[in-house]
Amino acid sequence: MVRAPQAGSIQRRLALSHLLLGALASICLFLAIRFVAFQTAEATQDNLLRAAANTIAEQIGSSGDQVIVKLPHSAFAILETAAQDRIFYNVRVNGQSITGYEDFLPPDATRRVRDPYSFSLGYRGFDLRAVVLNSSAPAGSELQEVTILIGQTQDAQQAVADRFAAWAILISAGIFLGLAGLGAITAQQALRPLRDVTGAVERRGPNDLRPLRQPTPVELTPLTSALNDFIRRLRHSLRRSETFIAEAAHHIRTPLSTVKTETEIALRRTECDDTRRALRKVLFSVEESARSASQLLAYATVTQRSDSTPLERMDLKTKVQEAYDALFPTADLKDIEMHFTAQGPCFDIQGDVLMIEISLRNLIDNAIKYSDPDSRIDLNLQCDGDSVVLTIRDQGRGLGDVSPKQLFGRFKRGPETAGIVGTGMGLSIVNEVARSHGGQLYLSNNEERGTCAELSFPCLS
Amino acid sequence: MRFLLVEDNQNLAEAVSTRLAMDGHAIDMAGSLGEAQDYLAYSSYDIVLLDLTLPDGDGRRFLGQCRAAGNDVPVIAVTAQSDVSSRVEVLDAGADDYISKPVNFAELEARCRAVLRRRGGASHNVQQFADLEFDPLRAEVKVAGEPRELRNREMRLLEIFFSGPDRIYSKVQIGDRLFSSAEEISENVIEVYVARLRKKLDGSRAQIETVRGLGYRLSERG
Amino acid sequence: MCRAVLSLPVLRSLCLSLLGLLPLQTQAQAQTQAQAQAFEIEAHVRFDSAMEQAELRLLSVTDLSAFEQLIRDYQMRNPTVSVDYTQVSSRELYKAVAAQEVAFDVAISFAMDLQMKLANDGLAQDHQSRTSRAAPAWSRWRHEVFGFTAEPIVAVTSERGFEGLPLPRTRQELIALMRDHPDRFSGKVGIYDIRTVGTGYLLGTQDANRSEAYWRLAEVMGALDPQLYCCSSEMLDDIGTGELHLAYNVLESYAKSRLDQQGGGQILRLQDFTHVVMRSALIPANAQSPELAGSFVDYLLSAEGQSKIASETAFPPLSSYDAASGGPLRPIRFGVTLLANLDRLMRDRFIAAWEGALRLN
Repeated sequence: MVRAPQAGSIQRRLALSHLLLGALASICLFLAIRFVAFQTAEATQDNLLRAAANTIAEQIGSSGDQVIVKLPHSAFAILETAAQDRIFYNVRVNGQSITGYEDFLPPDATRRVRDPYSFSLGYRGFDLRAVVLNSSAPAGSELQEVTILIGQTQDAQQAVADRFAAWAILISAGIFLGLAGLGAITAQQALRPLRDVTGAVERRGPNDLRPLRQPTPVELTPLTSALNDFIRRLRHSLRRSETFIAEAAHHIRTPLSTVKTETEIALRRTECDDTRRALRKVLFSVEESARSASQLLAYATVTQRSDSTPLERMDLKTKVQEAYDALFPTADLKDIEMHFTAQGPCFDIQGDVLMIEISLRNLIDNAIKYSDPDSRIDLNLQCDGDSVVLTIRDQGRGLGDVSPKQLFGRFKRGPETAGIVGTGMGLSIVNEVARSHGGQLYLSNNEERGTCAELSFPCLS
Repeated sequence: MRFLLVEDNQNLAEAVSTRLAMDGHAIDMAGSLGEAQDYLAYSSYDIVLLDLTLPDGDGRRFLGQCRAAGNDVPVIAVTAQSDVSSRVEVLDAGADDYISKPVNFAELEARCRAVLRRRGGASHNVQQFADLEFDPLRAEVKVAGEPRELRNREMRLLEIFFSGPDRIYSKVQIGDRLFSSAEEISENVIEVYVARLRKKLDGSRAQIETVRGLGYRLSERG
Repeated sequence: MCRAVLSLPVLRSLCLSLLGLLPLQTQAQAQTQAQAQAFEIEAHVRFDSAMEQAELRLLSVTDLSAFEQLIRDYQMRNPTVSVDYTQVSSRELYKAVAAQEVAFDVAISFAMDLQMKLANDGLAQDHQSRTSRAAPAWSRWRHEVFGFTAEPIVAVTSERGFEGLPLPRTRQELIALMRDHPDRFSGKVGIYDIRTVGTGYLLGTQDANRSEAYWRLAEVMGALDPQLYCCSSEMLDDIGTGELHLAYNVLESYAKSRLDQQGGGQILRLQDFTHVVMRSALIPANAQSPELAGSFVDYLLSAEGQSKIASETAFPPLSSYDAASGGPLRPIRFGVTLLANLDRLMRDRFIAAWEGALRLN
């Protein structure tokens, strides 16, 4: 299987984006909680400051033309915090400080708003949250302006915010982990339909060219449609090739047959030796052409079917018997005795019928071709549980001095083939058939004379 | 033998017909399945040579129909196609044998004989010369009633002589007929086979006579 | 140079200090540095170390004789440290630290409200250590003011004055007693003049915050010609001579030492509540040796320091107060309300009310 180049991982990308989303959400949540907590604490503090200011404001009175401000104890009691925050305050009448920290002033000292307002400011190097309350009291004939400013450090508030922050971290972390986990699961789940389709295609293997009928989610439909379209085109292409090969065979062989027959007729009729010799050469060449055509077409068939044809279960013994029957007359013509024996309980193999037939015919035909008349060819079929082996022994010319492997090459003929029509393709055809079936072709010279060809296929039991 | 040749290629049909006639056979030519049907209705044949791809239909289906109709004539399918059906499929369709183009006539004759032998055909092909009875179908020769078995080449050699008794055949002529176009003619082999045949005919009044410088001929002693 | 002159400011500062706990011989013995000070020094001693590598400058309201053993013990544990001890009144201590001119490392005072104000105003430094964090939260303010003693405030009765009379257990009973026997108590009740005595003002405001009984007590006293004092030493003198039958809001440890000497009196821990005052230390913002200061504060708070305080000084250490034990003891807490009491308007109002209740105006 050819591996396609990888460009990242969808699952990883999905999981990563979920992770990022989760991280973003968690961080936002954390900041939000902290912010809300701080705001709430600040609002609480503001309320307390206002309450304290109000308490003071309620105690504003006058005596004669003097404004009397009685600072109630409760005003300070309200402001007690667990963090022991610092307190600063300043009560002014008509701009004059009458008690408290004289230099403690709001940023906009002249602002006169009736309702108390809260703000933050710095004083003596501390960050304070403060409230200003403006009031007026009649004293004498005038209305005297009273300004109450109370400020407090925010340690208590910060402590609350920090405690919330601790919770916020915990919640955020939990949510982050949850989202991350969920993201990983979702990423995997999302890709399940894709894995299902992949599995379906993988399982069927390259021989199955049926369209995919599996229901897939709407996003994958274009993919499966394209795949099915591709399969269909491939199927058509294969069928066209097959048809072409078959038709090519017909269109070559029929005219060749005519040529051969007419030449034979001429050979019979002629009295002239020269003519006879020439015609014999023609016949030889025609035989070669026919043979070439056959072998080329057989080779094309074999290679085309090599990777794409569904394999079926067949009994090799039956196939060998058929080939034997088909070629028996040919052997008999040369008075060659051909014997077929088989040992074993079972000769089942998985294969393509046509390729097997072509290979068997080629091997037996070779044996007959290169044997002398009145010789003997032995066919023996055996199964040892692992593989089924067909052994063909002849008493012919043998392989000669060449290494058998070399003979598997296309158009390669051995050194002992002179005078016999042959294309050099037979063995490469048989070898290709063996290879594509997971089997093997092995050639050797017999001890005395002749060739031994062993064709083996994996046994199916 | 009487052949019905069903072949749509005119040139090939004529060539085959001529060739078979040279060996003494009778041939009718049908260019389509329709014509074949007509011929089969009129006459009887020893062998039908049926090309499987014809313009007006698939030879196999025609064959099936014939068999279904009860016509049992021996059929040898002739095909140029390399793959379409295996031999078994053709036999299953009703053919007795099949041969592929280009036709090897020696092989064709061998197959025809095998088919007829299997069918147990009548022995109307027995040829006589002196005290020899020669049945090419069974590859048997009887010398004064005594059967002698012949091997393939021996039989073919005898067939050559029987086709023209008392005629002289040169080695070359014998070679042409004995060897296939793919083989080299070997004069030695011819001599060897003549010697074998003589042995097989031992005791017969007929003999294979060597005519020096010219060849051999089948003649009667005396 | 010793400026121990018996002037009114000095007298006031003496009273504002440890309620005149100790005789003044320390002043006479003290060696002082010739230093131009913006505040008045009552005493100054330098405890030199032979292996001096650092100097710890203490500013304290406590009498030297009380602290001497503590300092020596500290030096034993820290032999490389010389200790420079300056004694002032609590008001002067406040002024010195507030002015931030002369640098001291530790400021020790009995005036809880002044200490708190210094810290609130940002004039003290933060100090955190395991020892300091181990102290109870109510004994310190933030990590800036550290109480290290727990001194109950009691009333003292004279034996002769209360002859035949039941000893009151609560303020209610005291009020009833005084109301029922005006003849016995008229002109015989002694209290601080809170207008001049800082501690007295502190205790008065605390009493008033805690209970309504304080004002009724004041009113009852007001009808009995109350005697105003600047310091507990004189109150106890007069208890001894019989001129006073009752002295109110006296430091228990001091009263005990005086009564041990002179007898004739009784210490009354009033059961409705008995305030506990904490002596406290803080590290001024401008301290030169803050780590050293921290080590001294830790020493005061440590188990060794506390036991030394118990054995060598008359002050009950902080550890002697058991919060879980129940009873009438109520420590005065560091809190914003102490600050409130220092407010000018609050103070004016309180004093006005006090004067009114005691019929002083």
